[in-house]
Amino acid sequence: MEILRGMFEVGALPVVERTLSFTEARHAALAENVANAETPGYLRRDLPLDAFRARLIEAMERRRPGEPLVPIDIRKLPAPTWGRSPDSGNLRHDGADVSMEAEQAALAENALLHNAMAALARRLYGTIRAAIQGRSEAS
Amino acid sequence: MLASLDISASGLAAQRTRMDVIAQNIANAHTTRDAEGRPFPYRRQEVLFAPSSGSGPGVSVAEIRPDATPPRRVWDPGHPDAIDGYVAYPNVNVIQEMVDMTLASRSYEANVTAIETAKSMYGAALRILG
Repeated sequence: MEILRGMFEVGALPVVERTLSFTEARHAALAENVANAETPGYLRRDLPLDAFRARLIEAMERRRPGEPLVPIDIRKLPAPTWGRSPDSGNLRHDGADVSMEAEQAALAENALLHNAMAALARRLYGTIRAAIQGRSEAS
Repeated sequence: MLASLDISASGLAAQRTRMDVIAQNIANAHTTRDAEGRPFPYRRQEVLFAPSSGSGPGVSVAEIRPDATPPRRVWDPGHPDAIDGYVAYPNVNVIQEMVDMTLASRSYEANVTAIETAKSMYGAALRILG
């Protein structure tokens, strides 16, 4: 099985896989904000993309050739620094800070990253498949 | 990923409940007596949301409670439900209900958008090995 782990834990695949886990978890957080957009006192939650990216780069730099990428615990990422949305407060008196526009923009951004990473993963697996089948063109 | 679908579905259900309550308020905007026929004006109901705690993340309807605003009194001695010449009409403001209805409808659509996004992400993930 060593050869299989070598096949899937090298190159860009683990990076893509970690990013996919992150975007999935972030989508759940953003969907919760949309669902609670009109819940009094609800404070939005988010997973910080910047902090995740920093952890990922750190893990990639620390990785030595032939070694697997260390896992990144999404739950241990620091709380997002950009806290409350700037356009809340004046018109809202219920203590909630969800801005529907910002949530939709974040949802779209997150989905783009996810879909780009999924497309990349598809290409990478295609390359592995081509190597297994001994063909020059990935299907 | 499927958990985020549950979250958005809870948002849809909550907004639908809100829509039901608004419809009930508008339908009873001029109801001056209760189910037993006694002169008692309908009281506007309002929906309170809370983040769900028990059944995973999302939103839930915490309470549907009557609005405490006093009824609207109109001088109409000929009305069968008049008391001392005044008829108590429900504390329902139809325009306010209309605004609430638009808000509920938009929130519903926002949750639908979140579901569509989750679906596209799910589709992309499924195509990885396709």
